Amino acid sequence: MDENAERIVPKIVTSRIGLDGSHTLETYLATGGYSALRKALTSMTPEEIQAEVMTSNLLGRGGAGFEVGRKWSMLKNSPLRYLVVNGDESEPATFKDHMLIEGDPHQLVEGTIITAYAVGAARAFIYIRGEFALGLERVQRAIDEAYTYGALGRNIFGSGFSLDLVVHPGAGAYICGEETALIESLEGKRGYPRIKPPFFPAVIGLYGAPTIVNNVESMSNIPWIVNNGGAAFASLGIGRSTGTRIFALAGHVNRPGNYEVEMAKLTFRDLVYKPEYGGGMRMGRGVKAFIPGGVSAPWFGPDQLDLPLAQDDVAKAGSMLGSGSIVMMDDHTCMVRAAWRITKFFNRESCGQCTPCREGSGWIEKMMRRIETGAGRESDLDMLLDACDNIAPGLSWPPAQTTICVLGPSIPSSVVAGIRMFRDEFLIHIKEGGCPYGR
Amino acid sequence: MSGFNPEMRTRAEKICSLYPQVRSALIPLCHLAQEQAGYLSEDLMEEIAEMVGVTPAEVYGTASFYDMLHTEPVGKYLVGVCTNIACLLQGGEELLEHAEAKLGVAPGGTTEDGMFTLEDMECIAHCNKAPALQVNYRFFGPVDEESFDELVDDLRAGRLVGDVPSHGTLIREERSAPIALSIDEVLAERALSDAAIAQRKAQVQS
Amino acid sequence: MADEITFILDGKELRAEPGELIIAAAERNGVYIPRFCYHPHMPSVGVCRMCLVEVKGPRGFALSPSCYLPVTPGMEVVTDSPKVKKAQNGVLEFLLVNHPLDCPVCDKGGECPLQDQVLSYGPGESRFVEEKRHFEKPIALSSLVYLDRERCIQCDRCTRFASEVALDPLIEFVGRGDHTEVATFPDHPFASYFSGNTVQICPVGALTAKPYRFKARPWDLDQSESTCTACSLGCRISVQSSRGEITRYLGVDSEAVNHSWLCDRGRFGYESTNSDHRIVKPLLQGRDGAFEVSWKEALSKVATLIHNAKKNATPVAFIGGAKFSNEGIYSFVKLAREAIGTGLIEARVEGDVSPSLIFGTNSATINQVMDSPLIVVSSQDLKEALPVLYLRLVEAKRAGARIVELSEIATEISKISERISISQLELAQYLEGKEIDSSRSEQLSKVLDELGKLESPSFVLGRASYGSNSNVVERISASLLSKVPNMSFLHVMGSANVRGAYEMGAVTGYSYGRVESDLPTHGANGVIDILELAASREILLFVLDEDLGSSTLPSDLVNRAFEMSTVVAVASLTSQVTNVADVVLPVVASGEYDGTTTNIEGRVTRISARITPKGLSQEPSVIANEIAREIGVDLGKYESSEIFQDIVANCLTFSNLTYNMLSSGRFADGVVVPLSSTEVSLKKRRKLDPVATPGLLSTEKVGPAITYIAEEDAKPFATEQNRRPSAVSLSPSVDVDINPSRPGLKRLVVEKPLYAPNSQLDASDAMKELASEAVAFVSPSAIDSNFEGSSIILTRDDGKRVEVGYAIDDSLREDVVKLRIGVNYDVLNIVDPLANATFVTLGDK
Ligand SMILES: Cc1cc2nc3c(=O)[nH]c(=O)nc-3n(C[C@H](O)[C@H](O)[C@H](O)COP(=O)(O)O)c2cc1C
Ligand code: SF4
Ligand code: FES
Repeated sequence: MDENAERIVPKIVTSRIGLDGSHTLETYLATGGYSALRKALTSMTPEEIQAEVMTSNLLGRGGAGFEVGRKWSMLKNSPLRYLVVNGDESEPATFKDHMLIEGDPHQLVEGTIITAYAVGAARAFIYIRGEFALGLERVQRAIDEAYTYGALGRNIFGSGFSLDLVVHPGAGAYICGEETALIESLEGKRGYPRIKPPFFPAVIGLYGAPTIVNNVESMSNIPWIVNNGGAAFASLGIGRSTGTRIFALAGHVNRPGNYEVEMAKLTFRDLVYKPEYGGGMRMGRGVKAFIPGGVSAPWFGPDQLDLPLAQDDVAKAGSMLGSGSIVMMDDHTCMVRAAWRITKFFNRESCGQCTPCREGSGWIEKMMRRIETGAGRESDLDMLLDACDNIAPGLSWPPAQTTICVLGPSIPSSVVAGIRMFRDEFLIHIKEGGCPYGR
Repeated sequence: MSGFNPEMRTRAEKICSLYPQVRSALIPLCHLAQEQAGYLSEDLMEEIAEMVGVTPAEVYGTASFYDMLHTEPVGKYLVGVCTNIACLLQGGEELLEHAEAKLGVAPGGTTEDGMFTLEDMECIAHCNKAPALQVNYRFFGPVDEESFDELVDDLRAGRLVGDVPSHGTLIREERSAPIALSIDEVLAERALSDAAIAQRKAQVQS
Repeated sequence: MADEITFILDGKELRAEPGELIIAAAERNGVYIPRFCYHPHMPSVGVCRMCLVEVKGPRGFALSPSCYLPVTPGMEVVTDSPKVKKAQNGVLEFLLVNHPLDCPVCDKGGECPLQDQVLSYGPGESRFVEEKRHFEKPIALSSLVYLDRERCIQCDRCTRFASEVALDPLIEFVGRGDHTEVATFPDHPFASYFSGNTVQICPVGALTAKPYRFKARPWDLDQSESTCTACSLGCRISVQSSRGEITRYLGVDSEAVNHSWLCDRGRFGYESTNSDHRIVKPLLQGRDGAFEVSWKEALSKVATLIHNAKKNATPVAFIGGAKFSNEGIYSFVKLAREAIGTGLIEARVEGDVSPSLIFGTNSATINQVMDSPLIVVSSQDLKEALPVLYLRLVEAKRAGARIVELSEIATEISKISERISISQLELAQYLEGKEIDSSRSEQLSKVLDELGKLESPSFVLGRASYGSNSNVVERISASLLSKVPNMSFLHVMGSANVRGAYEMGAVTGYSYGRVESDLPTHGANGVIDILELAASREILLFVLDEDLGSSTLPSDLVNRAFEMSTVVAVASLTSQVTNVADVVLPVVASGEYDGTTTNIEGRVTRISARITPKGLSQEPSVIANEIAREIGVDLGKYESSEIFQDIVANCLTFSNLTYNMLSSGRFADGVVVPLSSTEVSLKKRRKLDPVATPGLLSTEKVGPAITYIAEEDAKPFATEQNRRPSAVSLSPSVDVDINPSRPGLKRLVVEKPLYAPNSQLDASDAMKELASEAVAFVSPSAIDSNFEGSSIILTRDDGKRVEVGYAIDDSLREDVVKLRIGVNYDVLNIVDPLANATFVTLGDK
């Protein structure tokens, strides 16, 4: 750690956040904006860009953590290909894309154009969560400015490469963050995830054409990688977890917020307690549990605080870094209530296609609410676990599933973690007929 | 019949031209319809159906999937209080209860004067400002009881008109850049995507 | 199949067809995987998750939907592991979470896939103690279909059927997650010709059909397999009854014809069998109207009429009978030709094509058409005429076929085809060598070239309009045959058994067995001539269960004919004919008789009696025989099976067929005559899946004709004799006055909608309100801007005029008026049924 402490870790995606007018073309150009696009279009072939991204080992920032370069290389050959940027960010307690979309839309647009060039897309779409009204406005403005500036449209920067980029608003449905549901939604339909196989977007995506879907933060990394090279990116971090990553820290910390840090070099504890990051737990309380990667992820307890912020280490410990959201819960938190609220979320957001997810989420939510409000029975706990098992057989991580998409098997994460880690607390609710924390 | 007014119709047609397959414009057009009428009236859904080449039932079916699209009238201001985990931990539920008391309606309800509709919202990605809320999808947070009351009073008094347009207006920024593809290129893209769609359908043919 | 692949199912190596889904391949190999959303005739969606099995992938075995994954070579599948069982159990328990469990009051109780699969694969008990989801009780989706949302399990079958199979996306899922429900757009009913299929495939009791609701319990039902006689397609049906009343028709999954679907007109047509519009006793016309008499009195009256006619040399004529079975129409042909000695018997009331066309060309089977990469259609709107054929076309289209429609007006077929805008008259002329504009001529010649290159080229051909005679159709076929000699035709025809009527000799100029007849016809050829004859002098006219007043015939002519002649109506329902007839003889209706029928392909299938005939009504063969006996002639055979033997003996095209053969499993889908050497008609039936069509297997007693298992030794393969029809040369008259005599005239295209009203529709409570008024569709430019009111006057050059409501249709050519038949049949008087085309001018009132 010591030699690293001296090294200056660059801000790769958040360098402009906080600058005046960070969302404007003016600021963007003044801080080196569009130089990567110029470089890419005038001095690099699509294959060279793909090679750099492959070298960088950039892991997708949307949740699944799949290597971006590898995904690009899997895109099926076809006269028609699309690029769709996933800006639907709705995973609870995740708010990093929100910041990038509003705070640095040109960086997103630039990354998108470079990617479209690299993967040979006929057109690109940025799908932005409908609730991000300001973000939609900012990205639309950025796109218009990019056209005027010559970074979009016909013959970009005289390179012969042309691209149209369209910003597309969502309309309020978490499931549309799932890439195939997002595609259905972009096709003007109900956001129903498609079955994989055969509907891997890289093979059969938007309108049936091969399609790359990448997350906003993933895209925002591309200009830096093109400018500095994949190797420079890969030199940050450890092992497969390269570069920097934004962690959205929320819950009972003194300084909730987005922190871009080098991957794998810090631990959860560092992030929560260091003054430049979380600044410690609220009111100096202890950590009861935390969610390491969005509410789809199984919970961790204080014992896991010293795990590094690295994809594989977290996976090995039985959870995931997922969407990059970390929710801290202090020792005054009712874990039954926390788990119930997460179940309620999944119940509301299940698209409704799969029986286990549609009906299971509702049933589990009702059982959880009953327990939380003191009307539970001891046998409910086994019943809960069994209902969860019928959605995610085996209740292991990564989960097996009886459903089409991973929303289904995400439902059990918090319920199972809650019961496994805090069975006593569930039992107190049941025996005392209510919540010991006063609700 | 009260479908799109002429200005909105022009904007709607422009939106349709942004997609190789016009059905893709369905949701953007629903937002546009809400901008005009505050919600999706039957007439507007029928006009959207005609514009994107589907039945009104398909527009209704699609729109009803999405929380932001309302097929019944809502208040001028849609107040969505987040109660998901990060806000819950910081008092989101209590804030919602306060909001219910202050506005005198339960979540889903609209005040009698038609000014406010209250919603219990899922995470709005403003967790660093928990407990947070949105009014017509404009962010506020952290919000406590006093600042909530103040916000409501300001909205009532019209002091936030510039920041918070009335319900339905989502994107005040209209696209100015025309599509660079030529008509022929668009048609070629449409033909290719038509073929890809047909192939996709054949994929699930029994 | 040559390129079958092998895979491993539960440790056993089995065969599958390439692309076959696991669930289907397993089923063919005897392993039934439970399911809800899967339906063999719809695209899979894989949502209910009931069919999960373990499939080995790169990361070991994983639960996968067997209804979605095709078998791949060497694939390893496990259907019976504890993991699979637990998943099935779990899905069923989840499905019951919000299900009301109101089985005792549910129409589906007793034949419910949910109930049955819970029994076989499900949890012993429900652990769910929470409050269930509540919806307001059944709502009407249309006048025919009701929805109980609490019972719905969101399998997407009805909505998928509507959008993918019928292309009527009028019902959709609305809401999300566990608030998802099926709904129409507010105030837009589920007005689909095919809505009843959604009831048939609903795997729970969420969708119910108004005519069946609360009528019976499944365990009270008896069934017989039969053939629908609502149109000439011949869909296979199960006729189900309870306590002597028909309770419903279900579509049977015939590979050859209907793939389990029915149209609503066919499905709910049985309401007329049960209705009080039925004629249940013989009637004689008296001074104060009709009065009931015994059969004896009625028959002796008929005999007297025949004797008098003979004595006075009054012509005796028979019109209709195309809805009868082969046996029924055959008996009347014998009565007419052999007992009475008249050649005036004509079943082609809708003016179908001349016998030379049917006898002189090869018929294409439906499957031959559907399996073709290029399908060419020139006919009236098939969705109106042969609705289930339209569904087959939609299916063929989805599977990749290219459909080309030759039509001057846009039809429902246009939506799934490339349309070349050309009228049949122009097409005939083009084929005969006349020049047309280069772009269409180029398109047409390309299509014809492609057709010519196909191994078995076929053409779907029928009259495009009731506004012209059928000569044009004959011209088109003659020319097509000279260009593509191996062309076969799927002839679009009118009434159910009109094709059989040709074979049975109920057409002027021919007798049964395709033998020309020289019995006297008084110069008449076809129904119009016979009516003209009847209008010009007294004749004795038998009307064989045909509602002439509600047909495409000009009502003026029908009325004049009735005024002059003595009418004997053989009828099942009250109609204008029975009101004016001197004698009315009650005949059986659908569901009440046994026999065979012949569809447009020439497919001979069984019709089965399910209930005893209403009142004193009799089978047509019995009526014909009794009349013959009354005039002193013994026609011999009464039982339909015996009559069928007689038919086989007398009609070469039917040789080798037996009645029993058609009742057996292997040939339950019928046999196509004339028999071809390739026997395309013998596509094997799929094994019956109780979840695909609930209510077929669950129904207790299986009626006389229905059997799914019996095999039959007989082989109805072609012999030298019966393979090819006798050569009949097509010699249509060419190019007579088909062009308007002066500019400004508009040609009438007359279309008959599915819900064209008639006595049968009137007798159906649920469907009668679906009939509408006649409408003239005109192009916007054809209408004077100062026209007032909602109706216009159509005037013929000879001064004949009618008034009719009109609507603007943007897609219409300026020189065409599309007249859609409706309640007010009088407007058809504007049509000159013998002309090659009818031209009119438009005027304001
Ligand atoms: C239920 C569900 C919700 C998801 N939501 C998001 C989201 O909001 N944003 C996102 O980028 N990815 C989301 N994903 C992941 C996407 O499916 C996809 O993996 C991702 O957009 C790929 O981008 P990346 O490779 O750049 O990470 C979600 C996945 C699931 C199953
Ligand atoms: S798992 Fe849930 S969210 Fe995902 S497709 Fe199935 S029902 Fe929809
Ligand atoms: S998921 Fe296969 S039958 Fe429903």
